Amino acid sequence: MTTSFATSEKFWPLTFGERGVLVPFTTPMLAASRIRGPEIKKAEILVPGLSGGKGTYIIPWKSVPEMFKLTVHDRALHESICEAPDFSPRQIRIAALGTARLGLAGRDACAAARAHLQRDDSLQVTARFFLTLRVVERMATDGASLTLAELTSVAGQQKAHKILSSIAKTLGWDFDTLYDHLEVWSKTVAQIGLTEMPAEAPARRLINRLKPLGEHFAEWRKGETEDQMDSSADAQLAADFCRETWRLATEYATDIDLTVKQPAESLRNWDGTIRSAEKVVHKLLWILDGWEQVVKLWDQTAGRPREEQRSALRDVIRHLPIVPRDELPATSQDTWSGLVNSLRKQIKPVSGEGAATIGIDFDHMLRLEKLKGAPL
Amino acid sequence: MTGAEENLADLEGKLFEIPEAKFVQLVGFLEKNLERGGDTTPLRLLLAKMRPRMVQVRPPRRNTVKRQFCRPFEELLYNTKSLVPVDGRIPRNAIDPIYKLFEEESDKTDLGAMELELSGMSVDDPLCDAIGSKIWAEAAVNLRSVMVRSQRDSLSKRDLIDKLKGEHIYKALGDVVDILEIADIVQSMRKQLPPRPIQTLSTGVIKIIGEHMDKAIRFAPKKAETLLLVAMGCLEKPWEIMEALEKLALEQKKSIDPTLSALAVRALVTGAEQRLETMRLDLEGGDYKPDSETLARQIADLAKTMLGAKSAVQSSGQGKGLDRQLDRARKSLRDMVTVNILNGADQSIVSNLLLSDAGAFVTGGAGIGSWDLPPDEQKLREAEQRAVALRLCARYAEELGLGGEAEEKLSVLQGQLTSLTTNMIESMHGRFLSTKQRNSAEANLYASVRLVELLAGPDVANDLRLKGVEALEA
Repeated sequence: MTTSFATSEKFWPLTFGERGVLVPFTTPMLAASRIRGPEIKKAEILVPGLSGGKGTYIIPWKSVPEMFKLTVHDRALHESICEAPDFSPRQIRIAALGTARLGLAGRDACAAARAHLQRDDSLQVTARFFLTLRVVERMATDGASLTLAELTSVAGQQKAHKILSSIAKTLGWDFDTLYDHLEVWSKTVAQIGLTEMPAEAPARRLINRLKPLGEHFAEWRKGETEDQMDSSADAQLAADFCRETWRLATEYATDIDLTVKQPAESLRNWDGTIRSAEKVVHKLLWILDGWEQVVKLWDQTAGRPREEQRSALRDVIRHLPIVPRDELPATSQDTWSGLVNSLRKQIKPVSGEGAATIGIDFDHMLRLEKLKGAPL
Repeated sequence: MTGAEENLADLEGKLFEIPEAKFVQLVGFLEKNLERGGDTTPLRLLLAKMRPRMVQVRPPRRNTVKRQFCRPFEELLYNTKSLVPVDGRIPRNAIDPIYKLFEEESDKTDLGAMELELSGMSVDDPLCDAIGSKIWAEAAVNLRSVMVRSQRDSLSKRDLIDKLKGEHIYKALGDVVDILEIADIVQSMRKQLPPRPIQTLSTGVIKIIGEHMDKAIRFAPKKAETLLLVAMGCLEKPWEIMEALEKLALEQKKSIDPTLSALAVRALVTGAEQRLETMRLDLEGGDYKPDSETLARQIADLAKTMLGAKSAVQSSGQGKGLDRQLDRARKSLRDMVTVNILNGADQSIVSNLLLSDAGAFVTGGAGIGSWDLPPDEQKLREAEQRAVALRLCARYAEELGLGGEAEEKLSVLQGQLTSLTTNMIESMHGRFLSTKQRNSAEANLYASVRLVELLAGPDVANDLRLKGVEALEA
């Protein structure tokens, strides 16, 4: 196999496809790498800050196991991604959870992966219950009502069937059509979650955490002295990325919430509703891709010595997910252009790289594994 | 596990599902109830479970008189079950009895008014410093007078010790009062210093410490010692204080005299001994017993501190007594590594693999024929932690005089595990396995591969993984 690679300093991709998806490797050298490509044969991996350079290395995905000494987890993850139908955030997440579930990144990561996979199912059920209650609350014509507790009993489900049937009639549908639509709708929105849902979906929690995280970076920056210009600038940049991403993600998430707040209108315009919901969810998953790693990287340093926090901040900078130019509304492009330029200047190579190219930095590997087991 | 602990066992994960605003409300509510007194054990257990998310959410902590009272000596607080006092440190369990004493000696109306003023006020508010200053001054006077009264005769002293529940708390009371008497100076120093723990003892940091020591001796000559101990508490590497003292002496600072270096090295040595003692008590059982990975990290940290303390003792020329104390501590630490990390390693790693159902896969192994269970989660976790601990301990083994032993242990275990896993894979070949058995075999395979990787690195482990997967698929 040929192992060609190129470097690029072009930091502002046009589309999410060009930016790629973060692959949660546990090999320190590849910690902030992203995969992109239309199909496996043409897939590439983008590795920032390799070999002490500021540019991003672009390496054929298939060559990764030959070019790097990988942890066993990463060798298994690489194989699993090779079999994925596409390289979307969703597919990479499924591959990552499937690999961590084997226990190759430690027991905490294994337990967390199992819990995530289980929770994905339970979130769909929660979203369906929530949507059903909302539809009944807003659309029942004869003042009929339903509670969450009722939905879990057989009698309650019969009652729900009756109420939904009469609602379906008002839409010119039968019960099965309404039920199927609710099923599809809940499956779509469950990936992001809804503001008022009793259980918070991971994506929604991630959005909610971005704002306070940004404020925390800004607050942390105040503690830096004048001789710590670099980390002060890093903290500012991280804060700005958090704020702008939060702003963008919140706009999209609000769109999803709004359609659920007016279920009658949304159901009457079903084709438009579901198309738009799928589009928004898809976009949000791409926007949020990589942020879980950033949030956890910083969480890990809570209460740790300042120098450790500075080092983690350098890691955070390497991980900051860029929103591609064409994916942004025109009004945000100037702001993001500034952020992307600053990122290009501030990104630093992986520390201790010399050792990492020969072997694997054991402590760094354990830290990356801990990220997988850490709660969001 | 107590009943309350059992009920809380599954709570930690669920706490991450509560929306943030509700979580902040809940923390505020629990903290408020905590201050009402009575049996607070369930509340404390619950708050302990909530801590991981509190670290993320950082809900604003309630600003109280008690919190202000502790601010000047925050960096000196440490957790311990030991009753032996340590120079320059204040056990966290001393706060409650000492604060209670302060409350008894103070005007309740005054305290109530300050409590009201502080509630809802940010800790950064300048007004908060003014209230803090009032609290420290009042506490210093009131608590000093209690101490003076107690020193009139042995009976009074005994009464106070009984009231505080121990001589170590009585000693801590003295230290707290010493600090409270110069709390404004301490606070001024804390505010000027970089965030704690200070990583680098820069010229700027040394200057700030020196200036405040000069201010402290204006109050009383002995107060330079108090300030020095607070400054040491702020440093990541407290032994570097010797360098600061040398530089300040060269500048002929009037607060610097030779007794300070003696005090500093004594604090370093007793501090190291105390940490060793706390670790020993934890290992002997109690509320908190560290897992082997945590223990290995604690040992690494303490080994580094001891090296620092040793160089400080040598540079200060403070006699052989302290040197011998340190050597004794180093030997105890070495024994701790031998007993808790090296000696049990075979048992924890290899025997776990043999005795758990993975052993059943090995021809000639115990319990052949049992293909139905995945490895025991708890044993597996312990085995992984022990393997990580071994790798970590190999790094500082040389400093503790265990160089060869750690490496040899690693090498023997690598060999044993690799051979066991190879046998396991061979025994999988050509067998018909039900889905359940296949899942169990797969779980055991990956458990072994992971352990081999931790001990021997990814190349050997990955070979075993590939062979194992092939055997399972065949």
